[in-house]
Amino acid sequence: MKRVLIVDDSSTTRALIVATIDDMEEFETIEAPNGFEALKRLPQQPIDLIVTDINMPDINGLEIVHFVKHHPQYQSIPMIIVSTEGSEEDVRKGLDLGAGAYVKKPFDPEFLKATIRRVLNL
Amino acid sequence: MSKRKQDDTLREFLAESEELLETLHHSLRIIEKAPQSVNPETINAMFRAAHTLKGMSGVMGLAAVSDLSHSLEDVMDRVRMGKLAMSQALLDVLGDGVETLGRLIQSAASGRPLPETTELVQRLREAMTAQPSGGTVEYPSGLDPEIIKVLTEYEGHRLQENLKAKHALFEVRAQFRFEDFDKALSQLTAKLQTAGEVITTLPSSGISPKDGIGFTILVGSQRDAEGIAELLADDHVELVPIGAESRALLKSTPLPEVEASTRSMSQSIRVDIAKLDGLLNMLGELVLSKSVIAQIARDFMQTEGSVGPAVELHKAAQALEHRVSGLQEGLIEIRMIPVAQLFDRSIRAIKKIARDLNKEIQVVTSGEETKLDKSMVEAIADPLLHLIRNALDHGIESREARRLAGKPDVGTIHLSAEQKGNTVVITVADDGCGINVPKVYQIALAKMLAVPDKEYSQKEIIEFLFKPGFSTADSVTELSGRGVGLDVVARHLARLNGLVDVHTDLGQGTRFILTLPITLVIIKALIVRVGPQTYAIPISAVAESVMVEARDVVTVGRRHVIHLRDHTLALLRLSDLFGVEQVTAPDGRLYIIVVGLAEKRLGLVVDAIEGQQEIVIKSVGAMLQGICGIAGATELGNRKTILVLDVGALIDEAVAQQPVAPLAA
Repeated sequence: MKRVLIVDDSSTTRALIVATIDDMEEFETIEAPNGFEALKRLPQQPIDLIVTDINMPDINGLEIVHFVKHHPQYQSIPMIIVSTEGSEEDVRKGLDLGAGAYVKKPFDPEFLKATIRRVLNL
Repeated sequence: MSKRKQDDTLREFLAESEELLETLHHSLRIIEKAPQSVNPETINAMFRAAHTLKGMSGVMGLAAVSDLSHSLEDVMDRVRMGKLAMSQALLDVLGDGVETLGRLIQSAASGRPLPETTELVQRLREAMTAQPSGGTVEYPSGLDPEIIKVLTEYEGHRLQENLKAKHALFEVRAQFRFEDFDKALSQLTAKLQTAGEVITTLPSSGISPKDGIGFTILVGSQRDAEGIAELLADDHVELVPIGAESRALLKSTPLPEVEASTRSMSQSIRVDIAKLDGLLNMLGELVLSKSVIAQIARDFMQTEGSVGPAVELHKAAQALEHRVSGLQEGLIEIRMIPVAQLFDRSIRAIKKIARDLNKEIQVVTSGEETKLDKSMVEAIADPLLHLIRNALDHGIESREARRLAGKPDVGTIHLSAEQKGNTVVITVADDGCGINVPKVYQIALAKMLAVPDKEYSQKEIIEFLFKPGFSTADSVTELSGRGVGLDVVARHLARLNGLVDVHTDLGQGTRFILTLPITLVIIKALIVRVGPQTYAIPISAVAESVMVEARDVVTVGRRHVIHLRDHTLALLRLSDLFGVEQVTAPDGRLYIIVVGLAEKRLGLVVDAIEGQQEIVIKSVGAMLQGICGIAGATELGNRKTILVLDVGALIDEAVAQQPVAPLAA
């Protein structure tokens, strides 16, 4: 079972991402409602994939990508940005920092599933 | 997705959207207070709430909600990026937008027809007199390139605004223990916000959590480097001014070693109110069991005397009582929310109604921090809105009339809340024209509510306002002329075991005072006896209780009344109502429990008052359902089930003077 960390400040969106991933029947999901919680979750168990929003208070999604991709222990964890259409520049920055893919909200569950399979080389 | 999952997600969506709507309402209110000097964080909070709503309604497939939140988000995005200035017109359309969004979500979630939003979306679009997007961001030399990489477009804009305002920029570098970094960082951030704006916070960390976690915080401030250094003198941080020469002013010192813990950082959780209702019901059962045990302990003491086991049982029962009370207070506290949420919504409604009526209104609030049970807040929202509509429609005069009366052009509505013991008192006061008592009397006569040639006191005349179908408006207005009058408010309040009172001064204004129990589930009740039967009357509906001589009761027509301090009080004998035998005390005294709604008071005649007790109202079985005057049943410590009186219904009955189906005891 692979483990996915989902970072989004909307509990509704998290629930829908969890539902989509549950559907794939090969993942376990962990949720974080903000950047702080995401940072806390990382050392608690091995994580195989991080799905994060960009616009969040305090620590934004770009900062999470930066943190993970600069951390010797976590930098190999693939990351997907799931965010509403907003600033293209923000998405580009996220990809520059090392996120493997961008999925636009509202997302098509099948597209999200396919993206997850692609970044994990499944 | 399974049906259950879908339902769960919808519930989650509704709960979350409610929170986001509160954020939108609340931010709007703050902005309205000083549109030109708003903290950027407030604007951003509004943007973020609209943004999140757009995203989540999109994934839920609620296109109409998503579209409207998108429009609001667009407007707020322009405002936060400095491309659109705040104005009253903009605030108005944003206010309408947020209000409609609330109705839209309710309709969309329950599958009802959606309110029309095309015009509103158009107005929002027109409000955006968009200018070409701002120039490229120029970063000051000396700024950590890693920070530039993680700045969102908005944070980039805030950086530019700080530079434009010639604020000094600093990087504050802090190292925290992993276990409690969230708390330490929040404290540091709050401190920095007193001196300026926190633009972004970049985390970085060593290999293992043991190394702790570092943060680079970008701050813009009007204070110079020395000022900030002084502010942070006691924090273990490094302070680097950004500019010509970047040199660390403060050096961080190694953290003191503290035993590691793995506490969770989450400070709050969201719980479905239904779960709390379930717990509270269970607690209700526990309160009953507690009373039963206390009663057994007392009986045991009486039969056995104050000896060994009897005393032990008594002590144990007291300890149990103490702990159950603690549990009860704690659980009720969890359900409490500040009335500020209710006031925020009301103020929005006031602004809108005032605009529709072309009246200028200022709203003053006090006691917003007063807390009330969440279900009570929901239940009181409609009656409160009704009173506000009344105040705006009938209370506050037109600008011309106010000028003639020598009053300020702008009318004032004062919403206040105050806790008094187990009740919360909410007041809606206006500085309008007051209630025109002679006019009320004329209308009451015309509608055959008042009897010609009979003398009525001012209080009795005001009472007519609470009769069904009464309206004093010269013309039927769209606002209040819906055939729904104050009688509905009064009945609604009665259902909640509350009271409504009116005070009015002609030409000066009117005050409606709502008294509500803090919670609906566990209430204090007056236990009374009528013949062999015992009943409970919710204390919050009781104005006073008096002892009178049986001969003081006089008969007027077919009704029993007494004279109480210059007023005639109609009486209702519970013995007649429920068909039980009244046992008048040998000294000819009886007790009258004065219950009432506003000016509508009624005296319930009982044989004795047995005391006060906390009770848990349970619904009655099918057999008793539909019998007037009974709100439910409860158990007392002596394991007897007794009936709880429905004061609102009793008053309606007394007013209607219709015979009540006798209840077999």
